[in-house]
Amino acid sequence: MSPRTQVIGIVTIVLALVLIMELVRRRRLRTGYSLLWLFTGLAVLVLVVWTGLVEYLTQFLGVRSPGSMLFAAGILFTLILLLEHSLALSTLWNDNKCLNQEVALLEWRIRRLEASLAGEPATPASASVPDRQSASGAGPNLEEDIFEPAM
Amino acid sequence: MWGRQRVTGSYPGMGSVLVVIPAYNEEESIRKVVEGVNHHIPAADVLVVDDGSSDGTSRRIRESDAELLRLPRNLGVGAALEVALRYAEGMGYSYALRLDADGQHDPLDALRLLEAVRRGEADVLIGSRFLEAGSGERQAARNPRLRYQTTPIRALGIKVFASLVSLLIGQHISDPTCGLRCFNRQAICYLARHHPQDYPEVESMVVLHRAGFRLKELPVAIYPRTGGVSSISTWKAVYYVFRVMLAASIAAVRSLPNGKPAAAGRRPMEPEKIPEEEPHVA
Repeated sequence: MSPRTQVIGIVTIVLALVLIMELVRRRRLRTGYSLLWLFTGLAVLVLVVWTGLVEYLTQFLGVRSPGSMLFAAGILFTLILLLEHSLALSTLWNDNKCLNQEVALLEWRIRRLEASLAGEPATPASASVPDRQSASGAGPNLEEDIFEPAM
Repeated sequence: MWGRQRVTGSYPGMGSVLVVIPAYNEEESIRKVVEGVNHHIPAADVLVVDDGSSDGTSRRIRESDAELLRLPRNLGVGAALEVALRYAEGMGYSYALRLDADGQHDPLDALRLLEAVRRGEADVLIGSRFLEAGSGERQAARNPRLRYQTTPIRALGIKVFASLVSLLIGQHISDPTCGLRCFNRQAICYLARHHPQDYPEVESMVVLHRAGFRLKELPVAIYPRTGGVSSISTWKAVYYVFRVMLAASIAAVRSLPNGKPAAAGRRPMEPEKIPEEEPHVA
């Protein structure tokens, strides 16, 4: 690696690190996610500065050229990152689903409350539920919210 | 408490019944379906879950005699059923009947499923359009218009699902995609927490079986859609087949939520006493 390439690499990485810090500072990027990017940037910085490390790793792993090894490492890292994002998306999807369901249930309760406030009579024949508790075995615990949140 | 007064009626000696109808862009048919249910199963409450429809489905439901849960965004049938069953659980319903919103199911068939669950024949009853010698087949024989219309690829998909589910749960299942189902209280409480998502029909049978619930099929008639379009287009069918097969297979080996079958500790089902006469409450 020529000194010129080295300088370009170092400048690029420093700029990237500054960008990440700036995104965190402006609260655009969550601190938790920024850690991964900061560590990655530092790792690449080490590889650029300490050229002997790449040579050593290439020989140690039995890879023919340092370039191939760096590409392989980059692709592996990208795949791990993609998996991480899929995990995050799954979590977000589940959270989104639960929130939507809660909204639906709460909206139903509001409509009920508004109807009862407007003086609408309670549901007709509402008293005729003698067997409900015995048939269900486990009736709702009325001390608590009747709609338990999802997992 | 106000929440408990919603249960408007129940069959004598039977506990209360909630009819659950997930609906996505079904404004043409939903009112008719609700009216049909109210007419044929007058003692049951009806809950329609509007799964983030972009048409006038919610308005139609408000106009009809049904409770409405409106999901702000489209989450899929699985999430819609899950929230409906959580409602059923919270309100203390003893049975839940699930019908499709497109008018394919006959409320009278739903009643037959309900009766079977009530007699303790199984925890979950599922309609089947393929079981022979049933009233569905007889009906279809009388009126060919009622014979279930399907595309070849869809028929093949259903056959594949049926074989897969039968293999996974060790019980012959002929129509695992049917949306006409009846759940007892234990199944309601379980599915309110662990309902499969996306395309849940096939997967839920595996999930229920693994949780220790007994499943049974009854022959039913399936009518042509009265309006709207199926949520599964032919183009998506192949993708759907593979996705559902994967989901069902994973469900068969997935770790159980509590580490043990949910129905393991529950008391054995006792057939309920069926009253001599059934005056309509509504």
